[in-house]
Amino acid sequence: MIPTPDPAYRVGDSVLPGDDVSAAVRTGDVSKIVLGPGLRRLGSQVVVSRAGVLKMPKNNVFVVDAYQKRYIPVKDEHVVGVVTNASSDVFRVDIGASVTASLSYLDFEHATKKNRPNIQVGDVVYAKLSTAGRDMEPELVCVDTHGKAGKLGKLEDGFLLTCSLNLIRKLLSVNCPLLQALGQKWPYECAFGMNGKVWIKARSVKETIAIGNAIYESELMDNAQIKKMCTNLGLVIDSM
Amino acid sequence: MAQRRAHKRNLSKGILDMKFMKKSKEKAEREQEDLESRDLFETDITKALKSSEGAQFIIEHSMVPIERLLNGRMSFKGMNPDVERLMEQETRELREQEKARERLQSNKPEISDVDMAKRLGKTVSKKFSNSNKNKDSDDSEEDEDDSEEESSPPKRGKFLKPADD
Repeated sequence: MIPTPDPAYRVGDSVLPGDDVSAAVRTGDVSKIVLGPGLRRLGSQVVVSRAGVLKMPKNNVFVVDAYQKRYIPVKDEHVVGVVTNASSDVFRVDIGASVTASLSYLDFEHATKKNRPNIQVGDVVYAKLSTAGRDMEPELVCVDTHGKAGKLGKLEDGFLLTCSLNLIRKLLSVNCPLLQALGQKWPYECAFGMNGKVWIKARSVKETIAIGNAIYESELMDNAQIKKMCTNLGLVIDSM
Repeated sequence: MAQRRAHKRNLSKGILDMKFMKKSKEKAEREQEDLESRDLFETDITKALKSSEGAQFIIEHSMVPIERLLNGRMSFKGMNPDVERLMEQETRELREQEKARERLQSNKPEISDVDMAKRLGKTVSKKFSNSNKNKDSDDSEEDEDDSEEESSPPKRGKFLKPADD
């Protein structure tokens, strides 16, 4: 391979897998550098592992950001999944990753060997990833360390839709007004998985469709536009 | 491997399962997991990773802590009261953490001097006034504990022995 001189990448540039961004990462205070998703260490170098834009969301924190729909499981993230197979001791759950995740029937609140949780094929669960390695099948749990379900568990009724991972991150950031604004209009519940699956449950079909469309539409809007859309949506739906 | 585990004392499972040991249990589990993964990948860890050069990098696979994302399970206007209660609890904890962080950054003590003077002034003065009134030293010490409560609990009458028939 012919060694090519590394172009000096900076924060905000598009990068490709294999690009060496050591120089860009080491510009500021170099005592503590956080490498987020999309960056990997290779000896003393910092190398890009996915195509996208090199970004610095916080001081000395670097990530490669790109529009993404395929979920890569990460430990401790919360996901929404669909049960595809309920065999003897584990449920297979589709979380949109390259392989299905496994969910043991014992990892539910109050579940014992005799008392199996009531989960059928096609049910939707909100679960947490307990293991997620590159070479292993991801595993889910529906309890915390003390066997309490908390917010995890089976999601009854409702409606499931799929969107990009970027939209999930946008809606779950602290300063996004959409979910609060919709919550002031109608009572509803939702579960946003980091894997791009969204579960909504509202009182009627009309409201469910309205909330779902609002979520899809907000992908390319800024905060002011989102607020405006929510007030308009409220007026339209209420007049119907 | 076994030796390393042996000389470190761990809390027993029974203790860790107690209600108030939640944080310690999480910590113990994390340590155990670290130990296991270190054993598993010991051969893969190169010298460069272990050196000071490696210590400057922190690898974070998830965007959740980087962007401080909220938990995705939410409920509004009483659709699911259980979830709403948990949400409230979470925001309260978040606010407390924020406060603690601010305090740490601003380098202010947890209780300001004025607050301490006010509080201590009350209890100490009470102690002195009590000890002046009744010179019993035992009494004044007891009062220290329940200074928030009323200073003089209603006195119970002396037990009267019923007359034998």
